[in-house]
Formats: sequence, C-alpha cells, structure tokens
Amino acid sequence: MIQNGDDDWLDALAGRIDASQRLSETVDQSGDAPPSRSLVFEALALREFIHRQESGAAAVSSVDQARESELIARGRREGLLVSQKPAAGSRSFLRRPRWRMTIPAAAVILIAAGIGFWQSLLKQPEYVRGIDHGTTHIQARDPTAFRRQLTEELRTAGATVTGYERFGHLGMDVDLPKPLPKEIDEILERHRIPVPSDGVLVIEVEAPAAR
Amino acid sequence: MRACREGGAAIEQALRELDRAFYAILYRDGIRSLRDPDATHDLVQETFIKVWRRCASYRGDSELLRWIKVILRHGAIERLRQTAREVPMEDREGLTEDASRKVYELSVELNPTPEALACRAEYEVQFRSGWKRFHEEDPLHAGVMTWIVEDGLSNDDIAQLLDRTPGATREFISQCRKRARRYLANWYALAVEQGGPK
Repeated sequence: MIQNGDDDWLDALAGRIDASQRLSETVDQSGDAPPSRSLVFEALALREFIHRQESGAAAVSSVDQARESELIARGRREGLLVSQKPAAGSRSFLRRPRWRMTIPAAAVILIAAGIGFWQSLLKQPEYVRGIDHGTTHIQARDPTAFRRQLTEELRTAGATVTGYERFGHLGMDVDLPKPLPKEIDEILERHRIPVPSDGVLVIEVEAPAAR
Repeated sequence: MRACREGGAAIEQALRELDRAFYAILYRDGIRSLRDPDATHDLVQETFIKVWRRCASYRGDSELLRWIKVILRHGAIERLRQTAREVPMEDREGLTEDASRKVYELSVELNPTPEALACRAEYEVQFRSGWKRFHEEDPLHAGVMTWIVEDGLSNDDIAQLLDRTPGATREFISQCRKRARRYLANWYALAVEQGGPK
C-alpha cells in the first residue's frame, strides 16, 4: 500500500523504507512513477547526506570532573541538594535543644492551620497537598476532569503540557515559557500551585480517597 | 532513578552518574540542533536538572536514554522557537522523477567507483553549504530532520515532541521537505545538471 507522499518521504528519511524494496515496489505496469516515488528517492539521498554531515558533530569527553562540579553547583543553586544539610554532623537534629522547643510550637501552629485549611477544603474542588521530589501533588474530587481543565488552561496560555499516568495517578509535565506569561502565573495562582524556579512543573492529581 | 527517590547525598552522586553516562550523547544530539557549544552545554545541564525534578514521573516503560532525549529535545525546541520565524512557503516546483532519481544516484552505496567518489566531493560541498544555511535560518525544521535521520522518529514521535496534533505534524513534515528543497536548491540543481555520477 502506498501512503501519501509526505508519509513516504518521512519513512524514507527515517530509514524505514529499504531503497531496493521501495524502488521495485513502485514500478507499475504503465511505467509511470507514482508521485511518492520521487519523494522517496529524494529522502533517501537526504538521509545519507544528513547522516554524513551530522556524524562529524563535535565529540566531548564522557568524564570531566570540572563539568561534573559545575553541574553539582548548578543543582545546588536550583535547590536540588538542600536535603544534604540535615544529614551532616553526628548528632541527630532532634537532639538539639532548639529543635526540642520548636517542634511542639510548630505542631500547634500546624494543627491550627490544618483546621483552617480543612474548612477551606469544603469549599474548594481541589487543593495542593504538597511537593515531593519536585512533583506537586494535587487532590481533586474529579482528577480526570481537573487535569483536563488545567491542561487546557495552561496550553491556551502557551505552556507545553504532556500528560501521563503512573500507578493510578494522573500526571502532567509542564514546560513553562520564560519569562513566565502573566496568564500562566494567574492560572497557577488560582489553583494555588507554586511557580517552579526552573520552569519545569510536574503535577500529579489524585482523588481524595486515594490515600 | 533510585537516587532520585532517596534524595540527600545520593543526588550528588546521581548527577555525576548522569553526567558520565549521558553528557556526551546528549551533547552530540544538542549541538546538531543548536549549533552553539555554550548553549548546548547549558541545555544538557538544564536537562539533567529536569531529569532529577521529573524522575518521579519516569514510568520505567520506556528506555531511560530515550526518555531523557525527549526532555532534551523539548528544551532544544523551546530554544529554537525563541528565534524561529514561521515563514509560509509554497512548494515552488516539484522534482521530476528523473531529477529525484539523479539526486538519489549521488549515493556512495550505489556508486562506489573512484569517479563517483571524486564527483561526490562537489556535491558534498554544495550540500554542506545549504545544510548549514538551513540550520542557521530555520533551525527547528532542520533539527527535527536530523532527529528523524538519527533516531527514526515517527509521525507520533514528532507530534509529541512538538506538542502538535497529527494534522499539524503532517503539515510540519511537509514544510521540512519543502524547506530542504529551498535551502539545498544548489545541491539539487547540481545533481540534475550533471546527471549524478554514473
């Protein structure tokens, strides 16, 4: 079966069409070449020349200590490595006196905040549960509908959104344009989703009964 | 991926391992699109940071390198789009069957003779010049064509990368073909004029 010309061109460029196969397949009784045949010739030639051009692309060392250090520094600047700090030192942070004082106070504040938050949830269709390893977890009464709505809102505002599903959780990868458009900022603000510093937003949505 | 979930000190080691395992591969992929060593270095490091941030969303049902490459290419496309200009272009004149066959006959595989190889050098010069200009003036289309050649991207792969509908993706692919003809016009013309090496 012969597809349309651009499909054939793409297949030939991608190496999915074997030259001899295609050349013999497309010769018909009348001797007239199908329109896609010339496109296949063209794509096969392009493929070979592009491959030759690009195979000479600059090679770099696979191990480079300076480069690794630069990456580590960048990761630190972007907040990836902050969790290292509590592990430093031989004493558990729970044994430090100031923590002994702080934790009960924090607990009281959290309980008070929790009650207020719980009351506000009764009115909200969704809320952000927290951020774990760079993923913003959102609880919504109807996760599918919420993800669809948020995807449409963000795409309309210019973000690149890719949906996925993992372990029953609906997720979305969002690439935010830089600088962040006001429309997107407003959408995130409306849903109480924190703006990531690096322009990459990973969101997972789950129903209240999931946990 | 394990380190991603453990966090803490494991992250630093994970970043080092990511760099050692994938930097060279990703750099080669990135430089083909961006054509700028500094921008490519920045893109690859940005990709590693994104990989760490997104590791919770790695489903494990696709090859890790492939998954990382998609993240890199999304980043590359975003950068290319910042400078890309959408210029509507008509398909001026289609190549005739004879002309396209002559272009195809440039292939070394079909013509391994010394005469053909010598003649081919001239085609190489014309191609390199046109391809360079294509990359400079229309890096998104040229870059995607390179990815198609190197990784055999399908229509669906391209649609996902560009975040376009299947119909819009077909139009994009059609534009790649038409733009290649424009930028590589001298290469095509030489093949047609000289009839390709016999």
